[in-house]
Amino acid sequence: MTGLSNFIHPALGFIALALFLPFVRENKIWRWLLPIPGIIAIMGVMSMQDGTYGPLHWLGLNMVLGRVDKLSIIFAHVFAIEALVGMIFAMHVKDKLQHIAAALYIAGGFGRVFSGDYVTLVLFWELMSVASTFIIWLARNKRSTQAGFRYFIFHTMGGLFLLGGVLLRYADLGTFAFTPVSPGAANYYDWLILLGFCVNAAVVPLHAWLPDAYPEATVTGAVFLSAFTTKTAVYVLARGFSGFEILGVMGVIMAIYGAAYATIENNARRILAYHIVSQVGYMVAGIGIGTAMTVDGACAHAYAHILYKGLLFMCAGSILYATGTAKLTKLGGLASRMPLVMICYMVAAVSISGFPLFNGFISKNITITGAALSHHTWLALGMEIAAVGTFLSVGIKLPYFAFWSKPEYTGEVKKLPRNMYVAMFMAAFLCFFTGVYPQALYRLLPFPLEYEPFAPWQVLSSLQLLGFTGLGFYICRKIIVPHEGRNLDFDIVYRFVGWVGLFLAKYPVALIDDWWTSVYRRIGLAGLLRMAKGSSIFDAQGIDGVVDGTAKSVLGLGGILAKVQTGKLSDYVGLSALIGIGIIALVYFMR
Amino acid sequence: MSITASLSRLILQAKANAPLWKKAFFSVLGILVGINLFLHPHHAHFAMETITGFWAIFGVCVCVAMILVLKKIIFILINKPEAFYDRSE
Repeated sequence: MTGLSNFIHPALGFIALALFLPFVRENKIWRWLLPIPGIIAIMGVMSMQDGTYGPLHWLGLNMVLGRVDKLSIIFAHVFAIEALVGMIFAMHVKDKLQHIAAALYIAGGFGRVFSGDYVTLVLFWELMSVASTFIIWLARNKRSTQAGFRYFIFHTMGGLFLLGGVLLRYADLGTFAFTPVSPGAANYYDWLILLGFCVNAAVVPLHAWLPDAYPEATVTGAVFLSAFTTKTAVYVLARGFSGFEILGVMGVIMAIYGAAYATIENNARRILAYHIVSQVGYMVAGIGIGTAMTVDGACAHAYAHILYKGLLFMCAGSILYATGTAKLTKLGGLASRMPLVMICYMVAAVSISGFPLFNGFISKNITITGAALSHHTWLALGMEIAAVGTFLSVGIKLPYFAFWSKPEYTGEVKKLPRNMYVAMFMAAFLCFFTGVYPQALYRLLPFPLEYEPFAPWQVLSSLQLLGFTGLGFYICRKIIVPHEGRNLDFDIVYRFVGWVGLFLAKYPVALIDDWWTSVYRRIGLAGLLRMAKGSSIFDAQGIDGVVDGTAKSVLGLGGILAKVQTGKLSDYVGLSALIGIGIIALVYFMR
Repeated sequence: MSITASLSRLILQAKANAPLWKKAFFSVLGILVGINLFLHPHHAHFAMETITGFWAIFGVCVCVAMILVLKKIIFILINKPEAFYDRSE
């Protein structure tokens, strides 16, 4: 079953788009190219057969670019759909760089899902990391620049944990194959790899990059970010670390932690970012518990989550686009001014909260029931608490203070481009469709599942839980009013490290630098001048004419180098990624 | 867009009828507990689940406790001004 005959890697279309975009001038033409790779990817994933495709022999390594089985297909399936929806949502954006970054980011996501070995995984991992940093930077304001740096540094750290673990594992086992680790026999390098995965999955307390950076990304970029990074991490956890009991506990902590922070947050997009932590918590918990049912639940929840969280970010992004702010304290009463956005938002909100007839109801309850059936009663109860917090903050608080509350927002509401509506309707339809027809989702699950989602008691208990959460909100509606401000989180730890570093650079290091400069001026420079004098005599008498061009060419090279040294770290990151790809290509072709 | 306009009108009408919606909400809650008198789980996942209205009590208690603890204690401890992190420059 090798060969590329019936396997077209979905990443190819997106890489082609990224390479092709710079050469098309006319916006009217290239905007219609954006949805095409998504459509190709959907068709490609639909027609895939299980097997291993496209093994590459590179640098003496066996790289597997296409490991296709049920687990990779369910993630690729929803990735392809969300890539299409997200690209349609972004079609009005005239900044090509944003589309290029998004396309490469999506390509990285597909690459990771289909990678059968750790080398391929790490390569696509880093592609995603760089591309996603650009998605944040391309919001092009000071906050996003700073948040992007913190994001990039933290992800590089996570990537290094992974790489270290992978190399140590290779030294021990002599293989890069990406195979499941059995919880009882995990080695120290397995834990290192797990740590790298946990950074990506935003496991508390390694999660702070997420609510720090995502709200600063572009309106359209945040939709992609919400879908891919954490969900590829869920995929690799499900692939490698299913049944690790500690993940079960950490997952439930994440679920409650994210919901709790969302309850006291003011920025709508940061509320949603905290809810990524919370919802990914359910998936991590399902993987940690590790029975067939909970792993199914984790995959189903990832599928549902990508659809409704993308939609939530689209709606919050629409509010930001139309009014210029995402702060609940500045919004209110938007329901009659943006009715369609409000309806789409409510579809997503009831989906994430797990209302019957919407997709979250199916997927969340598979995980919780699975946890209860395998006698993890406390974990299941923790997930129910998080469900209350979810409905409270995303289902009631956010829409209430954005769409219904007084005083009403009286400023300008910009008209939304039509493509944004189209994307939101598509996502809303899918949330509803997989909610009323869960068999479409069941077919994709990695393990056969015996679960009746619409059992009367299940429906009644869910409705009771959510309805009375509403009552709780009604009782406390005066207390939960949002306030301006920034809530401290674990990012203060590495911000503090940064401040210490900056302080050291400012004072002791600067002092040494000063001292060194003066020494250099006295001794080094004088010596150099003397040498120059000598060589100029030599030059004038003998060499002149022979190597006349050298100085000029050195000068020219210096000019190019000076142009490259912009002093912007963002440029360096992009450049080093480019050089890295160049070197990889060179090694591949010269071998 | 005419759909938007008519939807806006509906929403404004609904807003004007707020007391009616409130009554509807409370009656739905009553009905949910009412059904619970007759409908019980076949095999409860949690021992307490067999008590009528358990999830109702759970929902409202967890919700109120969450809001009080988070907003009245945690929020006061961890909330800083919006520009808190900007001071380092």
